Amino acid sequence: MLRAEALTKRYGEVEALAGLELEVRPGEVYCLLGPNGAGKSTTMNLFLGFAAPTAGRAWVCGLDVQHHLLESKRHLAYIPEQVHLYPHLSGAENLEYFAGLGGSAVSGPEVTALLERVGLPAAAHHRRSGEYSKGMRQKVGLAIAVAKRARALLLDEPTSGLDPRASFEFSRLVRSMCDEGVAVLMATHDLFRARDLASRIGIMSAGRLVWEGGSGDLAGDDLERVYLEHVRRAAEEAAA
Amino acid sequence: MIGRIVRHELRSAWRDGRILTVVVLTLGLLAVAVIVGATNVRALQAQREEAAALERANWLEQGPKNPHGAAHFGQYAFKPISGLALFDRGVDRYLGSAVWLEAHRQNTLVHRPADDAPAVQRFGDLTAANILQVIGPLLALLLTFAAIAGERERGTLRLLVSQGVRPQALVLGKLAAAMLVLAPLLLVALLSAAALAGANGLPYVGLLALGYGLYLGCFAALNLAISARARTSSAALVGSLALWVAAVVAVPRIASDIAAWACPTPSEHDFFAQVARDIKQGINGHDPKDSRTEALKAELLARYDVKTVEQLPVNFAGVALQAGEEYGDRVYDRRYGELYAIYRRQADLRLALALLSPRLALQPLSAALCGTDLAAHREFAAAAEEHRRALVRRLNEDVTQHPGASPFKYLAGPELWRELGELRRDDADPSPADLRGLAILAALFLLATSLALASARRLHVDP
Repeated sequence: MLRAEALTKRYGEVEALAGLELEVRPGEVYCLLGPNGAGKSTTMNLFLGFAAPTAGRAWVCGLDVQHHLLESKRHLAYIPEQVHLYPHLSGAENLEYFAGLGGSAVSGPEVTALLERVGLPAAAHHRRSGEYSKGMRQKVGLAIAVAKRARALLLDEPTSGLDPRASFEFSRLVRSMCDEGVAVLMATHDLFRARDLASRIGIMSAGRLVWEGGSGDLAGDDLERVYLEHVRRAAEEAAA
Repeated sequence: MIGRIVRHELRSAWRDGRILTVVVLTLGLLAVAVIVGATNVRALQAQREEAAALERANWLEQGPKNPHGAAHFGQYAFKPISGLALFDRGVDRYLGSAVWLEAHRQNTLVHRPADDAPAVQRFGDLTAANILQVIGPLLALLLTFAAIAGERERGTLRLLVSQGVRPQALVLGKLAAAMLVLAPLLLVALLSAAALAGANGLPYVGLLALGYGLYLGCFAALNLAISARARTSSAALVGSLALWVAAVVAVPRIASDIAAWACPTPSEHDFFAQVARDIKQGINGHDPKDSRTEALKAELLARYDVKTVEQLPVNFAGVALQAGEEYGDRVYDRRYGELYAIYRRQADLRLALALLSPRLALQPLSAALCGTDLAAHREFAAAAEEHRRALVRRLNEDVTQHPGASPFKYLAGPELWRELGELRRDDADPSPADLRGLAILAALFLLATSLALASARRLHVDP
């Protein structure tokens, strides 16, 4: 569903991503962990076609992103760290607009049903989104993704800054999408959320995938130990 | 998809109180300009009709007089005002409103309203055309400068593009929405102007709307191109303001200076001094006035086979006067022809510079469609001159037909004055022949839109 093939991105002398090999299958949640600058967001941008790879390819549902910029986006939904909406429109109006642009026009009862599904309080549906909290905006973002009925979902630090309850609800919704066969690639710093949600986990450092494994391969606080160990080792190698 | 973007943009503009306020204020300003323009045009029309009636009465009541004396008594012809002058005064204010018709001399139009205007009016009249030409692009700027840069800055551009929105569709949708917000301004200004101008102005309102629509569309598209390239909306604002200053204020002014420098016009004094020299010494300096008169006398004596002018069956003074008149006409035709050729070259040069400013294409087009351009002025001047020549010819013929008596002692009366009609040009409505401005505006609009689409093709989603 989502596949990175020797995916590389350089900004001048800086190698933001070095030969990434990765695959996310339908119904799977793949969590990318790593410190800031590890290459997680660059990976997202390459799958979204926001940047062109220096080498390698990003595939979405069998489509090479670089050659099928628009078609590949039809199969993708994306939720950034901060979902930015039009502040003068209500959540319902934002959902209608973005979903319509994504090719899944929704209106009236469908809008209400989608917003209810993602847990946005009914009283907020028709309030200006400028008055929303971050959690509420993330929920509208998720509703937009659900409305699109995309086969792959890209989440870039989606729970950053959310309170634990909102984070939990968010995870629950992502899992329900996953159960419907959606492939999810999530970049996050949140080890707890990754262990809770992921089918597989990849740890990135300095543009490289330094460890990959199933969440079932790790027990207790092993993920934190593995993460710190690999990040430290990668930093030492970079310094040497 | 574009329709959805347009609807969204219109809803956003509607909810953005600032845009609504500015549009309503501009509509108010346009309404004032149209009403003031209509009042002024009607007052001027009434004044000119009154002056023409007075002038006619003076002519008829001049009493018995030698016809050549009557030719020197002269009369004013008043340029009628086009109904659509209330929308665009064009060059009317600077080229005069009346011409003195007299023997021997083709005068230029006098009584220019600009001469009586206070100095501050040099900054521009309060006409609907000026408002649309100057404030219209500012409104387009307000609607479009943050159209893409603002989405980028706000973070909504990422979500838009990730939804599969083609950047070009986004630009076209925003361009169409901006035009739809600006459309009421054009409709209100033009339809009210047409309604007040009378039915004759109606055929040109469509072309005016097209011209002004393309003009504002150029600015909207260029601002979108800037917005698509600028990292932030404040950078886009600076870029768009620079464009407005250059294209609306600076380039038209500089273009006029370049045209005047490249194709200089003679001063009025030099022009008429040259005409006087030509008439006295001959157009080519080879046939001075005296020799022309002597040749005419010899030719006439030979034709009638007589020895002296007193024996001629016609009054030689009348023939000589008419011959002098016709020679003068040739001189005036040549010198005015040269002068108008200079004006035309200046206008062509300004039009060529329209690539740098759509206003240079719109100004002459708007004035032409409102019947207030140089061509309309020239058309009136030509009609007035034709009338002057016919008048003088008839008066000279009358002298010619009364031989024998001392040439200038013959007196004509009111019958002759009544026979000579006044110049009636009630129909001052435009009949524009030069629509090059419209073609240039269409080309500029396509170019600006292509530029905006090219900028969108290389769209960055992050600041």
